Amino acid sequence: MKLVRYNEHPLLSHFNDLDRWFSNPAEGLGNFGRFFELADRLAGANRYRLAADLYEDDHNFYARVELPGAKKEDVNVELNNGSLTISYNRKTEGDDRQESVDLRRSLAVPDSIKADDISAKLEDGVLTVTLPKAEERKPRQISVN
Amino acid sequence: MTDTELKETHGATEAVNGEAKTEYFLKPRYTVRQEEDAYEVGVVMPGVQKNNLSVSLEDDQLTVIGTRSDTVPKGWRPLYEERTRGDYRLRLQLNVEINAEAVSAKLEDGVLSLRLPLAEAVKPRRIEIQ
Repeated sequence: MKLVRYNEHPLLSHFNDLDRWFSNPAEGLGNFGRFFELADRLAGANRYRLAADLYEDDHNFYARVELPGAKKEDVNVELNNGSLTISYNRKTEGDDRQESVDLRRSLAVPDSIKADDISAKLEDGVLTVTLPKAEERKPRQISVN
Repeated sequence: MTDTELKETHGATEAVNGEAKTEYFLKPRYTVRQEEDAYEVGVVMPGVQKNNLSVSLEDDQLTVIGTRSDTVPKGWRPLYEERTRGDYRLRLQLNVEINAEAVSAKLEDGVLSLRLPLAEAVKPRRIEIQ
């Protein structure tokens, strides 16, 4: 199975081939790079797609999403009607232009989650959300008499 | 792993501590920005910590290798996986002279920022007209 992770951001297509770029640095670049913070441009590269993983063990579900360059204050995690939504929103204002990044991903999660105990951790650009299973979802050992 | 399996992947497989290990890397996304006296290279490497990153400059080849720390803990069963696994490697051929001593690197939130200052000899120079 082949998964396509990122769509190409049109502005970034100039950077695909560094060899070519170094041999002719003026080609296609202009000055646009100066107006963006690096992290925002990089986040812009996956604007159209947030790849997610979902795992479980006996006690929790775990969702993982890549948010390179994101600060935790710009990340929002919400559970609503069995749907977990992760959003990343950031606005930066330069001298003469604005840049806005708005990424969003929703995942369907089972109903029986302890919503009050959901926790999230952002580490090295990877967000891990831990969703504890309600008691009745946990495997139970039934003793045979 | 049996001998037969090892042979089939020969070349990409080496035995490490008796276990066969296949080396394969992801090519991370990157950007390059030119400044007056340096190139700024940004590399997207989510899941890599500072101590698992290596940056080296040999002749005109810049190599960045990042080993991920966001491995799946034991006991986690995947329900679905969309993210690409594997460590990152980016190799860039430079055809401008870089001051290797002054290369600086910063890794923050899964984004590596490299600054490659141009060597004195290739810096732009302003000539005063008398």
